[in-house]
Amino acid sequence: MTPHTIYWHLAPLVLAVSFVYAATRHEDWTRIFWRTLFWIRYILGFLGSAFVALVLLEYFWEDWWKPALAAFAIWLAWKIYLRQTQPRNGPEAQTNGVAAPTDGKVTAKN
Amino acid sequence: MSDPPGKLDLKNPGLAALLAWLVPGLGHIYQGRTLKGVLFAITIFGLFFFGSWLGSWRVVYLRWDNEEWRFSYLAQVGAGLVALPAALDALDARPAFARIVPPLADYQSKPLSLRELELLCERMQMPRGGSAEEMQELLHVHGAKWVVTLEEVDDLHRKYGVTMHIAAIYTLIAGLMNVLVIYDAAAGPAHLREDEAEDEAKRAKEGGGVP
Repeated sequence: MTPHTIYWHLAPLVLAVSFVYAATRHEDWTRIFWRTLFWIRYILGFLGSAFVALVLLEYFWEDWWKPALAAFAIWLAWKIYLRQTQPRNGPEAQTNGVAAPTDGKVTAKN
Repeated sequence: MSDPPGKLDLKNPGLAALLAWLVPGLGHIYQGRTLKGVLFAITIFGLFFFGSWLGSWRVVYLRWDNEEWRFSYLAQVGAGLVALPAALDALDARPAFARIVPPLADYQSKPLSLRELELLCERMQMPRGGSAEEMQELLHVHGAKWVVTLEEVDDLHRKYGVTMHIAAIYTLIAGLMNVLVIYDAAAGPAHLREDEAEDEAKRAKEGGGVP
């Protein structure tokens, strides 16, 4: 077996795991179908990220800080993008992140 | 066990769980959830037998001694009846099984070390000595068709390498997935149709969409 053919064995595994997990959580078939797709995407995303991270680590073994810096830059850019595009109509946005005043009312704790 | 949640009739949950363990999907078929049961059976048997075939039928067995602590069997046995023949070796019932079902004589048979082969030869009052392969051949001639050697399994690992591990993983996952199926048969799904409809109506009322 050549190394790349190993990855083909992932496909039935991911499909089966996603389907069984979704089907044991839900009873409605439409829900099961969409949750199966969700888990396929989630598992492949996770495995893909781990794969990319390991490839980068191998490639930049000596200069590990380069991909680390690139990852930090991407994360920062993503955060800024989210901040720019987030709708500002929630109570937190209106009060600029500060919790809304409670007008002195204290709710009893159970 | 408490009453089944919602309107789903789980019948006898304990029996359903037992059936689901013995034959994946059977618990659901017993409860009238036929399509789910059939799909679970196809998925779990598919994984288990594909893995077994990929590993030349030598990845599911039970050894629990200094030679090998076969922890993976703890997961594989979750697949139920199809993984139980491996336990026959621990009960010394392999010869009887081989007599009853000759074509499956060495199905999930425990691979024997050189020392165990010698002991078996002694017990069967046969000349002992020579290589493991020679002793295995001799034992086969004398009717002990179930005899598999550790050398044979090691050869498979040398020949197929990582494929043997992938094959074992398939059977492991089949067993572990069936644990979820057993739980679903015993306690029902986490989210019932009625709950989901209620949730959706609540979300629609609050102005949110389907997550």
